Amino acid sequence: MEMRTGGVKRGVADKAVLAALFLALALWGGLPLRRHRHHDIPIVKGPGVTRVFRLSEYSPGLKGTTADTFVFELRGREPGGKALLIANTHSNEPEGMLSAIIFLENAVVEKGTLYIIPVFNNSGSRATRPGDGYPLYFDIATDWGARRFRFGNRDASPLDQWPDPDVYIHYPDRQLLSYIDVRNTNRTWPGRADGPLMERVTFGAMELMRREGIDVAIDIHGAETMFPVTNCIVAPESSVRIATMVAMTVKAMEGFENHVEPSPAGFRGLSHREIGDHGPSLPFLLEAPIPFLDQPTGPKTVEFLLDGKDPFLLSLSAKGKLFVPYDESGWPIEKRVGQHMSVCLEIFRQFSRKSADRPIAVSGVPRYADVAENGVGRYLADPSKAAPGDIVMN
Amino acid sequence: MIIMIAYYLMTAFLLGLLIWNFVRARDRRGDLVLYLLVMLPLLLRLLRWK
Repeated sequence: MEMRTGGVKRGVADKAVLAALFLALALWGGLPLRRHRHHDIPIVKGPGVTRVFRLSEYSPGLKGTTADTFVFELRGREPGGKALLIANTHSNEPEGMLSAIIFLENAVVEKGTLYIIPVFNNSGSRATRPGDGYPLYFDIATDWGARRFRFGNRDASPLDQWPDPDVYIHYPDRQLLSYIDVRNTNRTWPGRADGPLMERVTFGAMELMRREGIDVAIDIHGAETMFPVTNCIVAPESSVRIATMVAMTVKAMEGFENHVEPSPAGFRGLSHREIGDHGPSLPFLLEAPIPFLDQPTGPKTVEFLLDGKDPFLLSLSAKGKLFVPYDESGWPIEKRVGQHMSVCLEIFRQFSRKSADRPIAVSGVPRYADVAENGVGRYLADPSKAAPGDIVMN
Repeated sequence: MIIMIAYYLMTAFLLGLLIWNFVRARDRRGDLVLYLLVMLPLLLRLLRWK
């Protein structure tokens, strides 16, 4: 009897130790993810920001959800055309968000109005991909210290939209897309007011464009060097002439390649297709090469994210397997952000030439050569020096 | 939203079953570890950490 009691006690002790070990494992792995999800980044309202509001003003179904996000309005000194910059549609492509933040912390709009959504997929920016070894944060060096940003995932967090369907049936075309695209804000355009959460995000942006009469919509991304649609401007029929002018101008005047890719009419849900088909705006989707997203690379470190240097890609480049030139200098973040800055400014300029009655003129922001030479950090504001009312925690 | 709540309830139910089996399981440590491994993602989802 005594032996049996001793055995039971040992069994209970075993279970308690094992349960404690696993609980410690859950805490060790889970708490950093929880902190990342709730870590807000400060964005400083620049001299041109005239209003900050939430996307739920245009899509009430977002109210109170993690998918709701901030929209910055920069109203110009003179009337003119209207443009919308969308960044972090995919939150693992940070050059878009950095470009948007440089715009809203530095830009002064002379003519027209600029709307900026720096973190379009707010839910995705609070998720990660631990299986791929993604870092949770990255720092950009500045003159006054490092500025920290969340590094997110391509798709929204399942904590905000769960479960995924077996197949995502796109609205309204009913095209069958991959199940995971239901959480991809570059497959859920044009969205629905009462659809899945990510459809409500894209619906909010569509409503903003429709109600405000946005002329130009730019969705800023990054793409793998092994993916054919990279280092380019994707444009549908309606905006391809402007895109072509932009591509030729930046190559001739600023010395970098950014070719034009046509937006396929049969592939639904993408911003460069649906924005033009369902609203008044001319859509453009910008892609800069981001080696970090390629699969056959070394470890996914912050250093690699920022400098884009990888020996495996270098070897593949020698074998002609990449779609962009690639050498020992990699594809640094300065080059990627600089390209986006110049291409956005050139789109505004070309649009203004074509629509002289609706000009969009922006000053105070750097172009490709400035960012490539001075770094991204030079153009980021110091939140500690900003007045509390000028900081938006996103 | 209703489907999401239903999935959370199913997760809680499954986790309850696994805890019950873990408590009642005999001495085989391999089984205990397997129960805990299966519980881990369910627990992280219920806590809304992952």
